Amino acid sequence: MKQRTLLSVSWRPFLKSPVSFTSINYTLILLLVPAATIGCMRYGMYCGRVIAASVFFCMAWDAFFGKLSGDKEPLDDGSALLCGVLLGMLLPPTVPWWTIAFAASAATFIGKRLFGPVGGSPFNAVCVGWAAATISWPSFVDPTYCSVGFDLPFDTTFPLAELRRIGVAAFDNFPAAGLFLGRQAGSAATVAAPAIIFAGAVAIATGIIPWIIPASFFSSLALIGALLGNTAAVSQTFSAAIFHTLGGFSIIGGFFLCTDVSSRPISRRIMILYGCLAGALTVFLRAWSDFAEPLPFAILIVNMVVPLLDRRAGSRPVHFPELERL
Amino acid sequence: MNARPFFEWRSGKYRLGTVPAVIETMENPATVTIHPAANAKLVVSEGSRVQRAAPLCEKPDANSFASISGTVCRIMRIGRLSGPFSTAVMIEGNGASDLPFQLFDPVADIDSTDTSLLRKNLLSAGFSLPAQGEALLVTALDTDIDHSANRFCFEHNFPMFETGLAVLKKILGDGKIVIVLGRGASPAHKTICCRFGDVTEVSARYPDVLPQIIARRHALLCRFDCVKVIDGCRLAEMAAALSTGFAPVNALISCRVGRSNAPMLVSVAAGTAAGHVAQRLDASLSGRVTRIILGGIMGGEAADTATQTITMDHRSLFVDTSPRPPQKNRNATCVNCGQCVRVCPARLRVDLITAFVERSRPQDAVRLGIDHCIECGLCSAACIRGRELGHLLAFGKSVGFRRTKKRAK
Repeated sequence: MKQRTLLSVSWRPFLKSPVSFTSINYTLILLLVPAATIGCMRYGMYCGRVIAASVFFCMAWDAFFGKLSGDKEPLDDGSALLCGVLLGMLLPPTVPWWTIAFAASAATFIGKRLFGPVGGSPFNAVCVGWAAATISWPSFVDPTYCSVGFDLPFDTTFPLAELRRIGVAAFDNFPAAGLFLGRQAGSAATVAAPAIIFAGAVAIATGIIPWIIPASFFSSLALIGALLGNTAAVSQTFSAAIFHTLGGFSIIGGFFLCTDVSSRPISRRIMILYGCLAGALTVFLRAWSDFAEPLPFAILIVNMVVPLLDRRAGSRPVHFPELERL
Repeated sequence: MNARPFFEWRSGKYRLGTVPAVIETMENPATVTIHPAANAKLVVSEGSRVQRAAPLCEKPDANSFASISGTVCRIMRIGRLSGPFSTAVMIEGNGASDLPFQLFDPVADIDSTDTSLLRKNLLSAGFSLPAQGEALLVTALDTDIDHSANRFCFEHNFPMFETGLAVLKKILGDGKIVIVLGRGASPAHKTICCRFGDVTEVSARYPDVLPQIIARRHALLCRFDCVKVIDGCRLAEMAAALSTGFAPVNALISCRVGRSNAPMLVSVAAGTAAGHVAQRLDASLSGRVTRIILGGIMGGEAADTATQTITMDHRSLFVDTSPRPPQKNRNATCVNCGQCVRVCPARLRVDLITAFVERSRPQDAVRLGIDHCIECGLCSAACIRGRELGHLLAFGKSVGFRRTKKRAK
């Protein structure tokens, strides 16, 4: 054997998980590419413009605020890129560029950098950006009428807005198969529903996102939606469950917004509670709030509860009263 | 020997594998380097002839015997950054065939050994064994980490565990062994243990284990006259003590070459260079060895050169063949993913504890139970940001205890 230096100054262990934060982010971006492509096919380059602008502004603001806060490599981990892609998929294709810039700045500053380096924020940055833009300019970000001028092969009304307008009769306008295949106008996130479901399934199968959160989120959406939507006929119970589970931002919310690495809970048991709370709150806000699609608000509210729930995570093995008194 | 079944970690699960084909006969090393205690007074000089197992200094400890017969060719004084100078004695072998540098089969090799010899060796190594008719309670506490939940495994501990149990079984004969699997026991542990005695699984969760073991022990005390308890982590020491029974100056180490191969037990003359063992284990790997880690993946230390010697204190050897060392990042911040909390065998809030340590609040770290960290390194291995959590925990433990002691005064 050749005499060679094997000096490797590092703390144990000498084995590392192949999974890293950067690899998780870039894998998720890669999985979202088909969905973004479908959005561009439906809406033309309007949708591509929104996603590109959102990615650009998110990365630019992240670099700016990162430099301000002393982060040496602000764009290295890909979290700004992922945030931009998701924000661009949530925003409707008709939104003006300065609204995108504002949403991106809110997502980056309030949702991420105000709390320190990457991961310090308890909020989902995408939801923060979307919520800030929605509150500031509801008419620009509202998905209700944004698809009217487009040549889509299906009804150009946003399904949840239709639910608010005509009530349970909307269930007949939007059959389950149509919702599943993305025959619902709104934004890239709604028209690309099958691609997002596929991406979420791949992410769950590869262990990037825990299956518990989507499972509890969707079952809670279906259950509470069925309870609230049950007006007259039993058959409408099933329709209401399907409508709330597949309509609007439910799919991208359950697979990609709830499961954000830094804002989801730590313990697996608490993930069940988290998903159920988010789903229930989504249905409640859909029924009794002024917004057509309040799902990101619901996720933001539940994000605020997560640190409190997380206090139950882990456990102290043995108590030492004499140490506690010190 | 080659067909001995063993559990190995493949594609996300433990599967029954076999020890890979290895070189049947290993060549003796030409030279060995013995490192006696720092201030030991040598009884040999350069050029003097030594016999195998002859002491090299007055009041010899385990690391100061000649492990091969030959001539003392060099005596070196090695300076250290901290602490006193230490002495190294290099012995050139005379080619005698009395050197069992060999692969070790726990079951077969122990079966062919005299029981009284085993018992004598263990007693001389400081183990107290149960008398005839007494039950022996082996607890698997602290032997290992819950591998079934993790992608990282500690297979290098399994052969030692198995060997220790085989020794006990051989010595006790008709005596009863009751094995209590506690924290960190895996399905592979259970399978190994079932071959040697009655297995009781107490619980996988730490807070419940100790009281239940104590209760179990009381129950056993009622059934038998007396119960001796051996902690699981002493089994490896027992296996090592046994190897000195075969050859008084051989270290028993559990070796792994590459990340996917099953571990194998090798009895090595103390003072052999780690690089020599790596080369002998798989000659085809000699060009691809990137790092040699004495002491295993999780708990070891990286050898700074291939000539670093194996001493009697080493239990395992990991020969890494991957081209890149693990990526670690000192500047990375926590992203609150919770991976460390999920893999921690002590179920600590590693994220909070390390945050407190980083912010110089060791009292809070102590309040969250930093003293229960067993420094297994799983949190570091699992961290998706490459943070050196193990380093922070070890640092916080020392600082935290110092400060709380000071305050208590």
